[in-house]
Amino acid sequence: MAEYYISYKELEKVIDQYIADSIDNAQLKEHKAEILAALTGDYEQNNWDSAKEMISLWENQIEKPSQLLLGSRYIRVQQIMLDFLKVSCTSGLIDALILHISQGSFAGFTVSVGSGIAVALWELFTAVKKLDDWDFCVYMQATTHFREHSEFTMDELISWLPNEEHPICNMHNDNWECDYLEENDTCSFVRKDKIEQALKSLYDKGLLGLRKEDHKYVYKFK
Amino acid sequence: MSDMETQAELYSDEKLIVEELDYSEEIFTIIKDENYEDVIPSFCESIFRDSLYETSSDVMSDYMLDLRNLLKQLPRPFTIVQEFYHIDSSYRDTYYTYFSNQHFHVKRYSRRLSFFAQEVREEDFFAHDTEIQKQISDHFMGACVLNPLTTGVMGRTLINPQYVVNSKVLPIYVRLSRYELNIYGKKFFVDAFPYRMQDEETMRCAEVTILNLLEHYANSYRDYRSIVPSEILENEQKHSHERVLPSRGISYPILTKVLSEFGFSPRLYNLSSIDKYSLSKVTQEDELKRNLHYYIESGIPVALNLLPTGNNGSGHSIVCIGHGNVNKELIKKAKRNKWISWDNKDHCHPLINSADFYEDYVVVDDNQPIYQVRPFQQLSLYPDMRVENIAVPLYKRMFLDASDAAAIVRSILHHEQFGIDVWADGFLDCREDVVIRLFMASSRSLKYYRSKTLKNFYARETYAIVPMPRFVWVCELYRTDNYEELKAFGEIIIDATSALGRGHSACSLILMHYPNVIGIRYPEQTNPEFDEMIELEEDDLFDGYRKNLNKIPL
Repeated sequence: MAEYYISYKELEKVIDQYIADSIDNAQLKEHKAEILAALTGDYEQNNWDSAKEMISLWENQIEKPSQLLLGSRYIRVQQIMLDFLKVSCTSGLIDALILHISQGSFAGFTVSVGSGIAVALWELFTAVKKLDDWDFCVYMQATTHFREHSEFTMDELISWLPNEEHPICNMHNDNWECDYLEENDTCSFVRKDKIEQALKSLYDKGLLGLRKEDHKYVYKFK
Repeated sequence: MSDMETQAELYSDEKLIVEELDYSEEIFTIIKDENYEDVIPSFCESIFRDSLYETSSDVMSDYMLDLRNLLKQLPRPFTIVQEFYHIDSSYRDTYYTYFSNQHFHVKRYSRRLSFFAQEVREEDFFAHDTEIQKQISDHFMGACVLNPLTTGVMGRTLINPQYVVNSKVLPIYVRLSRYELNIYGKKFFVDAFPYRMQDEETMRCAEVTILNLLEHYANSYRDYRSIVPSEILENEQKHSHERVLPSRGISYPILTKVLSEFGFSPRLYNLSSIDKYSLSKVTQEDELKRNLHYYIESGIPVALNLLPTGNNGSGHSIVCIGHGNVNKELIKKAKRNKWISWDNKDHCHPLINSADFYEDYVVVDDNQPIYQVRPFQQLSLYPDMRVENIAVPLYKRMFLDASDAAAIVRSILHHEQFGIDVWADGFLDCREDVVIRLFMASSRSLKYYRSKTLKNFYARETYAIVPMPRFVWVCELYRTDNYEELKAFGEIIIDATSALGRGHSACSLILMHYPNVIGIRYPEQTNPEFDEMIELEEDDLFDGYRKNLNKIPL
């Protein structure tokens, strides 16, 4: 894990790459300004006006790149969060979120779709960056498999984590210093009680929803 | 039963009426292991007997407890030397400004207790023998003024922390100043930071913070003069929209304004003004703590404004003067936040910020006993209070502040021409982590220290010759294994007297010292290039700079 100081210009390139890596990326392309506004703004207390202004700045920037406006500004990003951003783009999570907001009103407020998307994404990233290691790992695993499993059980989740049959962690990379990573890329985190605790924690934090089906708990993204 | 036996029974221990010693009139009181449990409470009782309130009242009980706790902390045997008619300049000033106007009588004189870490007898104290005098001086621990008030009894207190800090939290690193005290016609010296309680009428926590800070700076540097509380109030009045006496406390923007009236160029860091980033786990609190650490490591005591989380309730003000030891758990956490240049992310040396290694800070807080070592997240005794503002009393020519200095250093260390990846690549392993330690220092002290500790002759000569402004920002570089023993392999020195934008970061560079090479720039050099490059044949690891803070060892 590492922290980068990255210019807005570079960040835009990163997002372009993530969008290009995504299947069915029409919506992501259409709402690129909102995604960038979510990453570069601060919308505490649902500050819709501020989100609107930032989207407008990004729309201008995308149309007419300017060094003065946004090009030379920097933000701080961490590798782990870039990894999450990538999987949330490529797995369809952001797509689903955009669709959800486009189809209905957001949180009961009458706001433009664009502001709603930017604020909702900002809230998602702000909540995820605060997660501690175990919770983050579980949430990222679930996000990685969102396209195939928008709802999942604990057993499915455990099967995605590295195990004897599939020892390689799908999230591992050189920049991520995971506490549970052991020799040969295996993971010591896969213990049922730990996974249970993490799922409960994500449920309590409002990141996952829950329903019961056939005597099993089924988790879904909120 | 004989007469003698009858008398003996009458005067048995239980019935014996012994006249209790009145410690309030004793110049010399010796406290030893054998008697401290009896003497300390009696001493405190005697001292507060003539106070406005009864000694049994809650107010006086608290003050007696404060004094009792202080005395119990001192290493035994020790001697208390009392001065009964002490004139304390800050108390006398508040007396004539405020207390003398009151209807009920308030005494003019303070009482001062001085502490010596040995048994001192009257005949020794007043003797001419220089040997004895030296021995007494060497054992001087400090002094505490007791003011004849009902609130804020404990006035100007100067005690060397080595005698009162709990050994469990040592070592600590603190900024102190050497004070001269005249006690019964004799000079004594103590390394201390001033502590006093607020009297809640002329001084609240913020005024106490200013007074302690200004006293420290006036005693340490000739650029500042000593001041009295009424001068603080006068300056507060200039910027307040209502009266300032009796004091109701002040906000930090006014506190920094008052500091600037006394010759400082303060910076005020506000927690909510720090940028937040959606894609970074480094919080605003983390960043504020880093700024605090850079200044503390620079030996600059700073004022901290604590507010309840949620901003409901009253705030508090304290002074931070030092830091605790490295927390090994935090080293691991700090590695997760290492800085990497985006442009060279696949081959650069990641930078780990040593400011993240520390959790405990040494504070002077009038709500707590002198010199408290507490975690940054819980500096106050009250729960749920966090640091909201940091006021840094900077010297007028320290233009480059800590956050800009950190940005410049980061940029230089990953610079394609001056960076660590270019000059230390042969010394470091591929993509090896580098720990950085950022602080400001006076060039005079830095040159002196380097001339004493650098082993290579040409390195010493270069440091001595290169022109530097009065203050410089220094960023020492360490391999992770060498940080705790503070053995650096390199450093960069940048100009603190200019606040250049990030685009011109390399123009701030005065000197770069990487393994086996030193590059220097002279003041006439306006381009980002070196005037001289000195190659060093044998360039050892060198000692990290330790002159900004005093180490209080275990």
